[in-house]
Order: sequence, then structure tokens, then C-alpha cells
Amino acid sequence: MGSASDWHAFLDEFRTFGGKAENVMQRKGAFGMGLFPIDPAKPVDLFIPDELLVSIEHIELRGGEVVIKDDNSFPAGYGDWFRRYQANYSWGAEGRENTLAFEEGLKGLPDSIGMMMKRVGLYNSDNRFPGTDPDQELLNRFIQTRCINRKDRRVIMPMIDLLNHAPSAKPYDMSGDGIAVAGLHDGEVLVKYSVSDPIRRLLGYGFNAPETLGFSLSFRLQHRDRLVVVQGGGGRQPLQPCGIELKDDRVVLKQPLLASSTSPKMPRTLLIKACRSLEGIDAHELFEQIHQRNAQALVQMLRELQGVEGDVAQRLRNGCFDQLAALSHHIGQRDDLLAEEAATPAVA
Amino acid sequence: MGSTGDWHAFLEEFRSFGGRAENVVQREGPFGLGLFPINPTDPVELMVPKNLLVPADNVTLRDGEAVIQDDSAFPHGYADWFRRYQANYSWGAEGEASVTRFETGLQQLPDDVRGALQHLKLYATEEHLPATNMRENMLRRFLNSRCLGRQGRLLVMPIVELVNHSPAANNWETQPDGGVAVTGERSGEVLVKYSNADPLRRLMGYGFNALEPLAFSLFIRFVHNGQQVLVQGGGGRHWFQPTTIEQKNNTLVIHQPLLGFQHGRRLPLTLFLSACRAVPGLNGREMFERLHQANTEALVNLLRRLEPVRSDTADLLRNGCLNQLLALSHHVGHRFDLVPNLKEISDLTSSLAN
Repeated sequence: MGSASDWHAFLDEFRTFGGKAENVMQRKGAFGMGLFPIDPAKPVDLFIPDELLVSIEHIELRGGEVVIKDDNSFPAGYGDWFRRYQANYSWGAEGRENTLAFEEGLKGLPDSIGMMMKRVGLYNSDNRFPGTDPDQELLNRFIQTRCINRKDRRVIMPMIDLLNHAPSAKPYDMSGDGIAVAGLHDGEVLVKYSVSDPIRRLLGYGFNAPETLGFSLSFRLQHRDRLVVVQGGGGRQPLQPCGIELKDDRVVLKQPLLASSTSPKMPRTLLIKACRSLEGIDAHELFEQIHQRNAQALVQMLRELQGVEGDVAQRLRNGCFDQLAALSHHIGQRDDLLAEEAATPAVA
Repeated sequence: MGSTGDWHAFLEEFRSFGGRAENVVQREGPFGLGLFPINPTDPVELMVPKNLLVPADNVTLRDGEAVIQDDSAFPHGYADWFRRYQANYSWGAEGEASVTRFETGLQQLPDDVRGALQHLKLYATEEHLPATNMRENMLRRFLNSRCLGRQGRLLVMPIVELVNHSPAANNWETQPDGGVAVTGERSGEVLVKYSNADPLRRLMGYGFNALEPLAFSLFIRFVHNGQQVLVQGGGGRHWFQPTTIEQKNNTLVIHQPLLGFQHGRRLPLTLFLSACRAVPGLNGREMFERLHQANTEALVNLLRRLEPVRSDTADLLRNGCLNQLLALSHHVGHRFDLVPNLKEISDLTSSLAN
């Protein structure tokens, strides 16, 4: 990270390519390096046009630096600016170091915890950080924490990706010809990266956040005379009924939402809706069975984590606490929505 | 604790007063000192007749020893035997040390943890205890963890109270004359289920962790849909009966609801929905979930506060919270058929198990 004048010179270059970065500076805050308004009384204005977004498959490591593989499709000089951006403000600033510390911390946890996380679909070190090509694996992990889906591509968004996350912040504005974050901010400029729950935010991004949603872990359970396979995770369309299908004799339930502190009646409502397409399922009981299994798994993980020293173990404990708290936010159901759907005639 | 010879001589004396203690020896086991069968293929037999049960309020400390205050109602020589029993096998063996260790550990917890425990009515600080003398208070706590409650009185059960607790064991057996017994074949330590309690209350009341199958609510206040709600936590004596819910002034008061039961996962909501019928317009299922949420939040909050604390008591408390969260998770569905009428619920509890 350079001086304030380096920063401003750097932003000037960014503007020449068509980007905007007004009234912001990078400094250390409560969440590590982040962006802050220079004058909190004035709005910040960050914008990156679609042409400057870099597809993740066009990024590589060259001599330890993150660069664009082939910069022909970008404005002249952008490839060099991107390399310096990564070196001074992103990957090279603390991105690599933080990613490495987290991945090594996860790998250093006792085997029992690793196996438990693998079993419930949270973490598999064999796939994620096998250690055969550590630099490339670290870059892949880093990119996963910084990229976004835009027009069917996974892209890196320079400057905007310096923003830190808060569950209560607004998401990126993706309505125009690029990605923007703007408005008045009296403290750090924060954005909501994506829809997730606390334990997945931690394992995906390396930090704890009190996310407002709770999704299920992965496991199988016996519901009455059926085997139910619960596929954990979720996030893209959390307020839509989850997928449910019959595969052989198994019911496969895809990423059910279990809790929402802002819409606590929706999780049960959505599961009831989803289960209407299959006979022999008592949606209320299934919802509670899934909750029970999640609570058991998290309590078991906390037991295994007792006495384990280290920053990552501490974060994982906090992630389990946050997840347990998030999962508690389900109260009742939306009878109006359930009645509405039941009354809607089937479309031919 | 004396030698094996002392132990057997001591039991001989106990028998001379009318008690029974056959095929048992006291030794250290996984739960501390406990009773074990001498020959596991033979049944053990422990029995204290009613006339040897000692009201806890008739036990006091004299020169550091736990003694019967007024021995006029007991057989001649029993008070002296009781004093030696307490000194060698109970209060003096490890009772005083363990209860003092646990209490001291609680007192040494950070103020915010103690404050949270008090707020949830899981813990009363020293100044709230009845006696002014610390040692006397420890004796009261010790006796509370060793006594049998009967008709509003706490009774000390010599010899039988040396048996340790297991949630999976049978209860004490009540004899026709009102005495208390534990009998039958045991392949390992002789264990008994002391009472119905949930994991956190077992810990706070007895000083040890156990995977209790029941979970009752903590003492909690919250607002639900604009309604003040007060939940009086705890429970256990009549856990299989519906809780009571009443409107007091502007507050909905819920008494000791059962929130989880491993051996009958439909029971908690069934009982709660039945109780809710007394309050027109109350959505029982929503309130049940709100109670669960409030309990989970309180436990997670307690666990967070305990994170930086390093001590044996903090570890016990952490495990107690985790056990409580697990016990709370045991609720799935309800019995539709029983909600309208739960008059015969106590006869049907076995059929409620999933």
C-alpha cells in the first residue's frame, strides 16, 4: 500500500479508463483494510464499467504477481494498472497473506473437525487447498472471495472489491452498465457481498459476520418411511421454495432456508410450499427434523473445538455461535401465502 | 474414606438400625466416588427405611462435622453413626470439597458471566444464600444435591445417596413403608436417576454435567407481537403435564414449559399447544418457536461470554450450555390427536415417543 498521493494518482489512472472512485480512501478499519469516505458529509461514488471487469479465467500468477493473462480486450495500459492494483492494494496488500493464514489454520485443525466439516458439506481440504500448487490454490481461494457473477461470467471488480462486507449493508448496484456503490456513509463504506449464512460466510471468506439467514448443513435423515437427502447451503434466491425431488426412493431437498431474522415466517412457509409436490411428507415435522440435525452438528463441532487454540479455531467457534443464533430465527408461517397458492388453479 | 474392613463394619451398624446395603462397595469411578457391586452377577440391595431418613433442616454443622441437630426421633446410636457416616463417606469424604470447589469456581467467573447466570435465574450469589456462614451454605448446597424431596421436605438418605446419577438409570424405588431403595443386578457402577432436570439445571444444582433428555426453558422476558411475555424457567416435577399460561396484567406468564424431550420429541409442542388453549387468540406454535429462539440466544450469548474464560468451572458451564442446546433440539412435530384433550396425557407419555 502506497501513500495517500500514490492512492490519488492511482485513482486518477482508474478514471482515465472509465472508472469512478470519488471521495474514498483505503485504510485499516474494524474489518482490516477497507474504503472510507474522505468527507463523510459527501457521497462516495464507486463505479466500474463492464469493460473493466476481468473474468477470473483471464487472471494468472506471473512472478508472484496477479496479472491479466491477455489484456488485448482491455484499454491500453489497463493490464499494467491492474497488476499494480493487485500488488499494492489487493492481493499484495494483505490478500495473499490473509488467505494463506486462514487456509493453513483450517488445515491445522484437528482431523476430527476437518472430517466433521467435510461430512456436512462445509469444507474439504482435499479439494480446496491440497497443497500441490500452493500459490495457485491460494490465488483461487482469494479470487473466490473477491469475484462476482456478472452477465454469466465470474469477474473481478477492481476498486469495488476493496469494500468490506456487512450483512446489513446494501448490495452492489448492478442495474447499469457496470457495478456501482454510491451514497453517504458516515463510517467505512460497506456492501453486502452476497446472500449467505454465518458459517458459510466464514468458510467462504474467512471472517465472521452475523448474517441474517440460516441455511442447512448437508446430511441424510429418515423422515417417516422416507430417506431424505438434505443438500446444504443456498443463497441465490433464498425467498423461493427450495427444490425437492424424488430420486429413486430418496427425497432430495435442495438448500432449504431454515431461518431469517428479517422474515422469520418465511422459512417454514417455503418448506411447506416445496413439500406440496410430494406425498408422504409432513413439512412441519421435516422442518423441525432438519433444524434438530443442524443443531446437533453445530453442537458437536463446538465440542470438538473446545480447547483448540488458534485464531481460526476461535473464528470457527464464533461461526458456530453465529450459525446457531441465525438458525433460531424462524417463527410461525405465512398462512396468507400458503392459502394463496392453494387457491390458485393449476395452469394448463 | 476408610478401609474395606471399615466399610463393611459400617454397613453392619447400618443394618442394625434397619437399613440394607448388600453387595456394594464405595470406590472411585468415572463420576467420582460411587457405589459398585462387589459381585456383579449378584443383585445389589440398598434400602433406607423411612425412620432413618433425616430431614435436611435437621442437619447442621458442629465443629465442621455434619450432624443431626435433634436426634430424639431416631434409634439410639443412629446420630453418632450418621456423624461418622458423613465424616467418612459423604460430606467429609469429598462432598464438602467438591461443592466448595464448584461454588468457588462460580464465584471466580467474570462478573458478566455471573450476571447472565443470575439474570437467567440459574445461579444465586452468596449474598442470596440463606445462611451467613459460607461453610453452612456449602452444607445446604451439598444436602440439596443429595436429598430426596418428599411432601415439601428434603430428606437425607444415608448410604443410598452415595449412588451417582445417570439420566438413563431408573429412579429411586419407594418402599411401602416410605423408605427408599435401589435394587437389582448391575454390571458396573450402581447408578440412579436423581430427578427430572435438564442439563443446565443438573449442572447448577449438582455440580456435574449429564446428557439429560429433557430441556425446560430458562427464565426469560421478551416481547412477542407487542405482547410482554415472562417465562418462568425450570421444571421437572410434573414435566409430562401441560404448562400453565396466564395473562397477568399486561404480561403473558408461561410457567416452566417443556421445550425438548429426547424420548418423546412430539411431547413438548403437544403439551404447549394444549396449554395455549387457555389463552384465546394465542398462536401456540409461534410462541413455542419464540421460546426456543429466546433460549437459544441466551445460551449462545452465555457461550460467547465464556469464550475467553479458562477454568474448570468455565469448562463445566460450556459443556452444560452445549448439552442444553442439544436437549432443546429434541422437538419434532406434535400429536394432533392429543392437543384437543390432554386429560390422560400422563398415561400416554410412553406412546408419544417417536
